[in-house]
Amino acid sequence: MNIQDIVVSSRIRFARNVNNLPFPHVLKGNEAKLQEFLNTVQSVCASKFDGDLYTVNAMTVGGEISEGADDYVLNMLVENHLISPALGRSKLGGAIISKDKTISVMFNEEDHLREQCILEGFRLREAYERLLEVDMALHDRLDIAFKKGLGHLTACPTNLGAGMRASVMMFLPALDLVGDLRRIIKKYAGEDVTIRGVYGENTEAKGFMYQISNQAAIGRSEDMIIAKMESVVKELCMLEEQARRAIWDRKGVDIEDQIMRAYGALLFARVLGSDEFMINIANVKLGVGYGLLKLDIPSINRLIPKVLPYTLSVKAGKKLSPRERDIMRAKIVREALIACKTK
Amino acid sequence: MLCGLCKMRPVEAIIKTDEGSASLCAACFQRYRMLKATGEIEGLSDYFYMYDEFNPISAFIARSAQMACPSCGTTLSKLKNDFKFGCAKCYDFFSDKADEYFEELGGQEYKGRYAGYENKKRPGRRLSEMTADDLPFLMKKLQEARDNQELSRADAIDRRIRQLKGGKQ
Repeated sequence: MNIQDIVVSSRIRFARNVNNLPFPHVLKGNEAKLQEFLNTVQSVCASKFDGDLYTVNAMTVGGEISEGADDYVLNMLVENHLISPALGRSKLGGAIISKDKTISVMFNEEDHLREQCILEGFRLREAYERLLEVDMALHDRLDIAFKKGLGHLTACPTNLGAGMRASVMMFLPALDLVGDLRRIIKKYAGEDVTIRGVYGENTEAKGFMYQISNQAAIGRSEDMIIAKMESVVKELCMLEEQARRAIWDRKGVDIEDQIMRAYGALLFARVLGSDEFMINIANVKLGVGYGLLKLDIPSINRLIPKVLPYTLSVKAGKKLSPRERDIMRAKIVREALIACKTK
Repeated sequence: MLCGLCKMRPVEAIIKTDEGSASLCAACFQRYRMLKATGEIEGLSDYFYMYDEFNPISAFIARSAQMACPSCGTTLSKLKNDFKFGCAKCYDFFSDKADEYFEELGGQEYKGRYAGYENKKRPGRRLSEMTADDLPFLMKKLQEARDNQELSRADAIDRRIRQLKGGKQ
């Protein structure tokens, strides 16, 4: 079993607030303390990583004037999991995102700060250690809201305590196809672990991509949360392996046919819709898992966000029509698949 | 338009009875329905009398209706509806109401990396920052992790111990 073929990425997120400033949903925006808070966040981030500032509306952060990102850029950041969809609805919201796109510090989302580190593959502990460096620097410079016993204070009490969410994005086609996911989701819900579609709550999984995360943080240490998530991920990988073997035993030729057709479609299509791409790329990844195709899985994983609708428009530097996007997507996918062949 | 009773929140309901009509906010309207259903008031005039400033009961009721965090203004009803605290001070102000809920969520005390931060104590050092001088401490932590079945944590500590014993920093 190759866990790295099943686990797409690992993410750690911290929710933090400061004392003496109302939480974002109550914040009016004219407090001098808000400006002071934003300046400090910007200064700490600048000392820890080389990043870019994005704001929802025009505002000044740390002496830097941000015009406010347009909807295309904000949606592109959402597609790439660098900001949450909720941030785009926050008038005073924004984010400082590292140039390598691994660290993002959102401000004025549900909490004053939502820090996240996202790394390729199964690297939860590494993501945690990296983010902790930024987090500790923020604790040194800001008056972070914390109460003995409860831990970090958050707008929503489900994030209390460690204020941490550990999540792992997984590719689980076989478990989905054999219909085992519903039972598994129910089982893990009882253990405070959530499994949901990759684009967050109330969304279906696109391309069999699921996000597995801890539900509550209260009373749990960071180590406990990570250890629990690591054990759940390993168990899911084992179940996915078993399901893949079962599918292959039952209808190997049909699966092979489906995979090869999908690969052919992606290699030769000249117009490629988003949904068609997601279905076919999932089959291609499954083909790599079965050893039918020799392609580099991390390269395929990196390709997926590059051809999402808003990301394509931002790359083109203009608003593209759906057809223009489909043509551009087909070209990028064709070139990427040829480039990610392995021996 | 503000509620005709509490004069604080916007009108969300208009009650029309034989005694007359009243424009109320959601909270005052809910309370009216509850008091009427339990028979504590007969109608609007009773309800408004309860809030009369010369009525000794009114002071108590008014206080609970206006029970709001002095720092951010979040009211108890808003907290219950939105399920969100308005600021850090809300956690103290509503502690008697919220503690029961925290119990339901799991209730245990936070003992993570930032434990002690209320005294501005920095969280513990990372494994990669530990040196050979920390070996006795690491051995103790390794045993704790094994006892608590935190296997991945134990693995990480074990790796660091082996690195330090091998002279690698």
